[in-house]
Amino acid sequence: MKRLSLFAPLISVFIGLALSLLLVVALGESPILVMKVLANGAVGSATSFGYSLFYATPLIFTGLSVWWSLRAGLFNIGAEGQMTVGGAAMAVVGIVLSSLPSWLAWPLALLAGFGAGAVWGYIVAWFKIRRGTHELLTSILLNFVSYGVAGVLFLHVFRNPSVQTPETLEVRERVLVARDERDWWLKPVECVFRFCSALRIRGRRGDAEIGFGLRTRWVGSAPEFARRTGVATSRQTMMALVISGGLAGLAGASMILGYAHKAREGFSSGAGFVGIAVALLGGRRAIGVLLAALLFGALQKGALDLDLDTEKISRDLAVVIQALVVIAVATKSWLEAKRWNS
Amino acid sequence: MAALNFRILAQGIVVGATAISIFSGCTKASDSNGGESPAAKTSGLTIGLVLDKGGKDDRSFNTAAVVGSSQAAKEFGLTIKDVESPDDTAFEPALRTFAERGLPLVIAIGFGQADALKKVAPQFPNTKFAIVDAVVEGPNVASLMFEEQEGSFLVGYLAGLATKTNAVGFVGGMEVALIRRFLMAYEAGAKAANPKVKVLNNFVGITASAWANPTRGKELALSQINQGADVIFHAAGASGMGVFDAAEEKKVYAIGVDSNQNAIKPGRVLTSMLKRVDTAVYAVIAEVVKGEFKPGLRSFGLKDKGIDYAVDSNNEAVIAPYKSKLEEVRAQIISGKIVAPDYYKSKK
Repeated sequence: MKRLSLFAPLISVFIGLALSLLLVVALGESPILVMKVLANGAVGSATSFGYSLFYATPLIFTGLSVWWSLRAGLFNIGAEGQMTVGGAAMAVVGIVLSSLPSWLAWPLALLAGFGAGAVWGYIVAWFKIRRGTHELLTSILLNFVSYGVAGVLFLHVFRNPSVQTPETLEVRERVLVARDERDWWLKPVECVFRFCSALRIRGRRGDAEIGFGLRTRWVGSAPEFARRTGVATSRQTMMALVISGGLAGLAGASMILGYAHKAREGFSSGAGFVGIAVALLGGRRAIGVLLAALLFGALQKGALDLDLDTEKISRDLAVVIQALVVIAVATKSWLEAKRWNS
Repeated sequence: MAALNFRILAQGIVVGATAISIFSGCTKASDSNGGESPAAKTSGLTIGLVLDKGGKDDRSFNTAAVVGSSQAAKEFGLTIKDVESPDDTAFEPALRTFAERGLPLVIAIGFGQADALKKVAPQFPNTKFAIVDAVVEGPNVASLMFEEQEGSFLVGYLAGLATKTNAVGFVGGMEVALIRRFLMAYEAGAKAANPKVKVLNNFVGITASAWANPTRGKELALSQINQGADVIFHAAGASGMGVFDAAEEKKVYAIGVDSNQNAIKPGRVLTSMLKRVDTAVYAVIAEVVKGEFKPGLRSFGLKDKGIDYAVDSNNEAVIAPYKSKLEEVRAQIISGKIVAPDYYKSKK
C-alpha cells in the first residue's frame, strides 16, 4: 500500500503526459520540441524555476486544503472562495495595520487569512452537521458569496482610486513576507519556504499515527467504526472543514503579501479549483500533494513559452495535460474499486 | 494489490513506448520543415506582443493589435511573436521572457500590464517597450495613449443630431476612469448638437467580468430604450453585443466602439468610434525598424486618424444626412476650435 502511494501518481502523470503528447502529434507538432519547451520554460533557468515555484505556491495550499478534507471523507470544493476571503482578510490587515512591528504584523496577516478561510469552512461544516446539507453544495455556493464580499472590500472600501485595474491600496511594507528587491527572483522561493516550513509541521502532525490526524482519517474511511469507538464524528467533521478552509485561506499569501503587495479582483484565478486536481493526484500523503503542486506550477510556467516557441501549440496544452492526468488518477481509483469488489 | 500494480506499470510502458516511437518519427519530419523556430531563420527582426486577457480573437482591442503588427510584419519583413495572457500573473513572465531573448521591441496591450512593465522595463535597458492605454515612465518605454474624448465627442454629436426623442443612451463596461472619459465627452457632444437632449448612462459592472456580459448589456440597453433613448453608444467590450441585439429588436440605433462594428447589425449601427490600436502598434514598430524610436507619452487622436469614425457600405445610408456636419465638427476639434472635455484632466 505504502509503496503504491507515490508510485501510482507517477504513472498517472506519465499516462497523462503521453496522451497529451499524442494529441500534439495529431496536431502536427513535434512532441520532443514541446517537451523541450515545457522543461526549459519551467526549470531552464533560476528565473524560470522561481516562477514555477511562484505558480506552485498557491496550489500547495489549495491542494493541501482539499487533501485535508478528503482525509475526513469530505469533499471541500470551495477552496477558490476560501482563498478569496483569506486573501481579502490579509489585504485588509495589511492595509489597516500601521503601528505594529514587522515580526508581529506579517504573522498576524497570515493568521487573518487562515481565520477568514476557516470561518468559510465552518459555515460549510455547520450546514453539514446541523442541516445535513452536502458539503459539495455549500462549499461551491459559498464561492459566490466570497466573490461578493471581496468585491465590496476591493472595489469600494479599500480601492486604489489612482489606477484603472480593480485593486486595493498597497499593503504596508511591514506585513510583506519578502521585501528584498535585489534578489527579486528569490522572492517566490522565499515565500514558498517560509510558508512551507510552517505548514510541514502541521502536515506531519496530521500524519502522526495517533491522535487527531488518525481520528480525522477514521471519520473519513470508517465513519461507523469511528462513531462506535467514541470519536465525536461531528466535531471531527467540523475541525476537518475548518482546517481545510484555513489552509485555502492562506493560498493568496504569496500573491498578496509577497508579489503584488495588493489584492486584485479575481486574484485567485482558478487556483482553488486546480487545487482539487492537485489533491487527487497527490494521493494519500502530504508530500505527494506538495510534489503534485510543484508539477502543476511548473506546467503552468512552462506552457507560457509554448505560445512563443511552437507554431501550433498554445499554452492551453498545460490544462489538457492536467486534465488527462486527473482522468488517469480517476481511472486508477476506479480500477482499484473494481478489484476490491470482485 | 501487487498484480494491479504491475498491470498499471505494463499499461504505462506500452503507452509510453508507442508514444516515443511516434515522437521519433515525427521529429525528423519537423526538422526538414524547419518548423522549429522561424524567428532564427528570417533575416528581419522579431517583435514581441503580449496581449490582454480576451485574446487575439476578441474582434476588438486585441484583434486590432494583431492586425497592426501583422501589417508591419508584412511590410518590413518581420516576425511577430504573440502571447495571450490567461490572468494577471502571466504578464510579468511573458514580458520578461521576450526581453531575455533580446527582442528589440516588446509591446504590452492593455492597462492591466502597467505594473508588470514597471518591474520589467528597468531591468532590460536594451529592449524597447511600448504599452497601450497606460503611462509607464522610463527611458526605453513608449506609452501609447488615445484621445478617446475626441472620438466620443464626435459620436455624441452624431447621436444628438440623429435622435428623434431627445434622449440618447450610453452603456459602459467596467466602471473605470477610461470609460468615464468616453461618457463625459459623449454627453458633451450630444448636448452640443442638441441642447435639449437627455443622456442616459449605465455601467455593466465594476469587475473585469463586466466586459463579457452581453445579457446584462442588452438589459441595460432595453431599459434605456424604454426610457426613450433611440441612439445608444456602447463602450463595453463583448457586453456591447447585447446592446446591438437590443437596438435591432427595438428598431433604434447603436454606435460601436474600438473596431469597426458596423457589420454586426447592418443598418442599425449608425457608426463605430474607431480606436486604432492597429495604427498605434504599426507606428511604433515602424519607428523601431527605422531606428527612430522615441520613449515617452504618445497620443493618438482625430488628427492622425488614431481616433476615427467608421463609414462603410453597412452604414452609408443611415449616416448620410449627418455626414457633412460631422466632418465640420471633426475639423473644428482638430483645429482646436472645439475642445472635447477630458475626464482625466477634469479630475486633477
